[in-house]
Amino acid sequence: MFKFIKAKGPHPSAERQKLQKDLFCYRRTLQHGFPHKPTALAWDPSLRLLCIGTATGAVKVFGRPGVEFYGQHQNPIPVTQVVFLPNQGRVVTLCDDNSLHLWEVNKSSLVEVKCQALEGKLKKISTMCVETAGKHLLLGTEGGNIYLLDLSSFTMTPDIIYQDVVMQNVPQDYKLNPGAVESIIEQPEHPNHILIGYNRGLIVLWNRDDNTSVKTFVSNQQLESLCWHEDGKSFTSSHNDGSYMAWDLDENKPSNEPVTTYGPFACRAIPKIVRRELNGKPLIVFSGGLPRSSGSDKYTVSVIHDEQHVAFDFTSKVIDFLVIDSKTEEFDDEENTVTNGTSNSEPDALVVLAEEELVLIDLQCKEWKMINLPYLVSLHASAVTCSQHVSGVSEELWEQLKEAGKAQTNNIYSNRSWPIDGGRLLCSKGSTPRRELLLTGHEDGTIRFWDAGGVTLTPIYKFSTAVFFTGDELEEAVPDPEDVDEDWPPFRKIGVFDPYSDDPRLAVKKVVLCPLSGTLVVAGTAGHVVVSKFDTEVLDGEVKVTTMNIVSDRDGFIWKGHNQLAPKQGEIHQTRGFQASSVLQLHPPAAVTACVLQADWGLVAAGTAHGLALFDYIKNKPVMVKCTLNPNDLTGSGDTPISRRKSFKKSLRESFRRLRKGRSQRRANTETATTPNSPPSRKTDDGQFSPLEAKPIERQVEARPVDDSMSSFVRCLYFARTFLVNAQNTNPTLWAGTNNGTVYTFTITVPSASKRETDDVTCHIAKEIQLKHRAPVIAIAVLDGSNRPLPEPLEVEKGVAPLPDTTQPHRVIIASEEQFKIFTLPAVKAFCKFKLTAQDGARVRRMAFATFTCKNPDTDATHSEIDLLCLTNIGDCLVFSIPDLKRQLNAAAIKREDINGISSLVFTKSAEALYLHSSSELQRLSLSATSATTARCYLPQPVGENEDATSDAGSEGERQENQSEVLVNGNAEGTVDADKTEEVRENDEETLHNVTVSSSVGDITIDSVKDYLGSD
Amino acid sequence: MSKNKIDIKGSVIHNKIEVKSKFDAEFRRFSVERDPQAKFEEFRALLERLHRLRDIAFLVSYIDPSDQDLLPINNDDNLRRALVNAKPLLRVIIQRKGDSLEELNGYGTIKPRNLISSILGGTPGRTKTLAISNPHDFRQVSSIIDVDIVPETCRRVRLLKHGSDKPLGFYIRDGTSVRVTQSGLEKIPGIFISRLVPGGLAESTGLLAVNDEVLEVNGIEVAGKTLDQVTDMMVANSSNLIITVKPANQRTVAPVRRGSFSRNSQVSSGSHQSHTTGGSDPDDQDEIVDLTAAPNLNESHSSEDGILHL
Repeated sequence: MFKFIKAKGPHPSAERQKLQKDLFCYRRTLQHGFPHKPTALAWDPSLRLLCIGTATGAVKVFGRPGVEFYGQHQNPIPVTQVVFLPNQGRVVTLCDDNSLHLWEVNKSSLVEVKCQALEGKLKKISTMCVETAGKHLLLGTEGGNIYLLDLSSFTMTPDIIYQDVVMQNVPQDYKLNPGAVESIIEQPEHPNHILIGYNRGLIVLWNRDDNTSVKTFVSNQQLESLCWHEDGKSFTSSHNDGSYMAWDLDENKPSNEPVTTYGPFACRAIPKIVRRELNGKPLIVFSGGLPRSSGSDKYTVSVIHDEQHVAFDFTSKVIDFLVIDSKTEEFDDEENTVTNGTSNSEPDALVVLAEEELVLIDLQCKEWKMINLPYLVSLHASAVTCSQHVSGVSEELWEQLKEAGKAQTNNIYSNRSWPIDGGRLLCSKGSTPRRELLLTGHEDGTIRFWDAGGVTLTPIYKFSTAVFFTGDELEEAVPDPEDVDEDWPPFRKIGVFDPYSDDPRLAVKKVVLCPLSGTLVVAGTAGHVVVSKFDTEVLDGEVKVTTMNIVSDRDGFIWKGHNQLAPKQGEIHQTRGFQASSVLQLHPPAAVTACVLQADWGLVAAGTAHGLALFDYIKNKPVMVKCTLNPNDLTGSGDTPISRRKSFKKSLRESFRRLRKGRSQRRANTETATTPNSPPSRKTDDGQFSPLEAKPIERQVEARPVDDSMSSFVRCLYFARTFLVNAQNTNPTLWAGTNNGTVYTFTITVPSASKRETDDVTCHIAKEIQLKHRAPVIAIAVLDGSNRPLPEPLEVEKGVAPLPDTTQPHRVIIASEEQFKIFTLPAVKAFCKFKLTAQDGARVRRMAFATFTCKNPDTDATHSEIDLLCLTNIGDCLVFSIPDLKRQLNAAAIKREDINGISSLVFTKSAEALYLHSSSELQRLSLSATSATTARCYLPQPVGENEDATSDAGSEGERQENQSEVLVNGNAEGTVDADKTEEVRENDEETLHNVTVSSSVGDITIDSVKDYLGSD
Repeated sequence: MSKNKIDIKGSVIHNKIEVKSKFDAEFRRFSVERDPQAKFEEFRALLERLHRLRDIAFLVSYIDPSDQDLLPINNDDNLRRALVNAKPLLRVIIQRKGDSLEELNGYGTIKPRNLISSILGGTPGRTKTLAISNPHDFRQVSSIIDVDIVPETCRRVRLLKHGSDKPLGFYIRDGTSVRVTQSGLEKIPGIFISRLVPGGLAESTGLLAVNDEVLEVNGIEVAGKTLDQVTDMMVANSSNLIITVKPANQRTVAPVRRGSFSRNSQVSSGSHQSHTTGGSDPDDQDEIVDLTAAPNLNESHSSEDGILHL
């Protein structure tokens, strides 16, 4: 349908151009996972929102699952502190450059409203405190003075609490300069009284009304933090030496001796302490404070309540922690204007922000278990090595998978609901949520299944391949809540972040899931491929192991790399979920570079640096091996790109030399400067630095060599039932592309279903295609007679996809790094091509297909088309029409320097993409104008005190408009306009990544015209 | 094969030329039409057939009636010349490749050597001169193209690799070029040739030099592209690489650049004969080997040796 809009000729018709605008649009939408390098944490007790600032200037506010607001500072420098202006939906951030920024939740994003920079060294802000009245922000500085910031105008007020004035009332015997302000806290019930703690141990209760000090307390240890008790008449201070002490307002001395929990030997500082009442007994939570000698490599938060004492032991540095109160049930949260810590609510959960993960501990539960995170989950609990996006998961498998996953985490997590529940969703009712899975393969051999259909990325299930192999310590270390060490301090391992891999060979290289048959294939670094099936019953039994020698026909091949993994002998107990049915080990055990699964035929193909193997996992029988090594080259160099490594080493060495040279020259310069008789002349200076300039970065321009040590790499594999032998019948075929532009095609005979168990699968080579330009083959796909990619295995059988069109000849798209080329089948005659590298200097990194749909507003007809998606090595996402390969969209999505991001990107079938924004965080983006996963949420109108009432009214109207829509959260397939208003902007990103909806006029080269003419 | 009508009887028709060709001791007599558009390939094929030279590499020459020089016939032009000059008949000499002295020593009139020296020299053995190949043995490796389109200060160079194992042999680097604009001098980042590999294609052509600024690669401007991108573009076009450079020794007289920097520069417009592509791109023909045992039913592409050249 809509054939008439298929532009004939290089100039797309006006109609096509309009359609392009309706179909294609680049947007960055959500971020999943844990922010990279978090630096600050804040909590709004009234709106129940959590805020995290990061080292790259990002600010994120989270409420209930699905409520997420992001902001980004113009200047990507670390955010050192964040504070909420309670109940306003506003956040003040302090950056590393001593600037303050006011942020406001505006519709669905966090926008910077105002900003104020403070200058002068003495004005370096050390601590911030928001008045209960919400009028001013108290800023404690390194210099010791306290400044006031008017929050409505966001300007400094002339009122300053000078340190000298405060010092006037201090006892005569205190002679020290009190140092920086460490802590300012308002006295509960007395907003005029503030407790000021100075670095050198001086604590003053200050009356702001009459500018007098009410009381002065002196401790002889350096002060780290202060905390009021709930009665408002006493407080606790924590100190540099790992001690804390409680003070009473009525006395000058501490009410009892300083407590050094982990004494008596010297201890580390306690940077933060919180004292609350829980069930009528004091609850003390503090970070650090461990003995200097033993606990130096540990990051802990200690919780002491009554008899219970646990030092939660984190695998990464503790940034900050908070105690969250339970929701007061008596009021609606809108009326519940909670003042700082004076509500009748109980401490509910402990929130700990560590460098690599967020952990919530349920304080209501007896065992202080962790609470399962619905978002902010560390993707990189073990480093992510590969990922795969799967859509169209059946409801049945989804539920069973969730069940199986729940069973896995049963005893680890507390059952209670997520306590951070601020904000509202624009959602629910009606349509079903999307069943999309993101599979991440990790360094430790595990596969994690994530629910990727909505705003939050939540873990569902984990599958480990390590259990099928023996190793030194491959047993999984499940954090056991009973595993409380008897030794002192009472450490308890907590969190899921585990950067240590037991065996690098376990690292997952490829993962394939067939959601329709419930078959999972995991391929790893040691040439192992684990095939597993989903089952709801427990399985005890041996896992069959098969070895296939890829280089069997090559004499004299020597493998110099790592050994293969030793499979575990004997019975293996497998709980419900995915259960391995067979393990294939390739020899030589080089890392698997490509892997495909055809569940309908019961076949798995895996490629390595040496060739490929086809395996029948139903009969557990090898079918075929094909060695791709050049017969003349038997060095068996393995999978390490030696030349590249060498050059890397070389360049490192060079840069070190350059550095050293530069340094020594600098030193020489200063020396000459000190000698009186030889004033350093400018000329010699230039001369000295010229050797650096003499050898600039240069690149060799050379045609691709015919023989390369890497040329045998199998880069992609593909199963298809298509016309390869003749134009009359389709055959099962296997396609394999290598690093030097060779494509091998094979015909496969799969016995009919009744004879599948008895007869053997056979496979024979059919054709060899050598691409003249010899660029690595990235992807292969067959288009049916109507130019749609062939359906995935079993999709036709399960009724998910229609039968492919076999009335017209099929075509195959072979994507190399340099160009896309389409050939007609079975003759493999060139049909058309797009030379990307020759035009843009960009190389293809990823190819995928996606469906784009839009509604014609005039006719109300839905237009739908399948296009080709491409990611380049410079981070651009391109959309091409098929089969004419005309560029439709060109969006700069990822910075070209972000190699990890580019190599981790996965496209979804709905034209979205996910890539690793940092090691722990995924960025989601959409190329479709009509479908995108965005946070559809808002904050309930905060009560009063909002100066910008006008602007708010406007957005309120918008909200109501949006509320009227019935939508499942995150599944924003509504009208285009509604989506546009919800668009999340990252202020500075948006400007960095310019987007062009190509009208393709600029793309025409004579090449493309010739291509076009030649193709007809 | 040949479309030329051949009159073996040798009757004298005004429009025909009598040809007498000799190979070893054999003669053939035939005639060809006096066709100003005569094609060498056809003529050669005719000779090959008449003398049964199917498996023999041979060279064709003729005796110029005006000065009895032996001159080569190896392209359309000198064939036509030979046909025009042939009076009364065209005497064609066919020699095995390698047998011809002229091949080694050059065609045309050999200047009579100094009489005295030839007498005194005694040894008639000619000094071994440098062997120079025939034009038909040459392979074009480079050319300056589009001279009429490209501004004077620029040079468009085409490097043809032709499957030889000689490396392209040059390196490029980042640099800054100074351009004269309306707002005065402006420093613009550019891509420059940083060095030439001795013995490489680039050096041997003499058309590229160190510090030449690269402006375009196969008709696409490099402005705004990174060094890596430009490298990739050049590698992708390495079989037929066309670079427009601003030679280093002319950079001082750089004129104001006209127009905008579009994807396709103005400099390159109209010059596109240079990069042929499309389905029939000879540089980009992939090799397909059919190993299916079943006979290929698509007759038009079946081939005896199993290799399909598309």
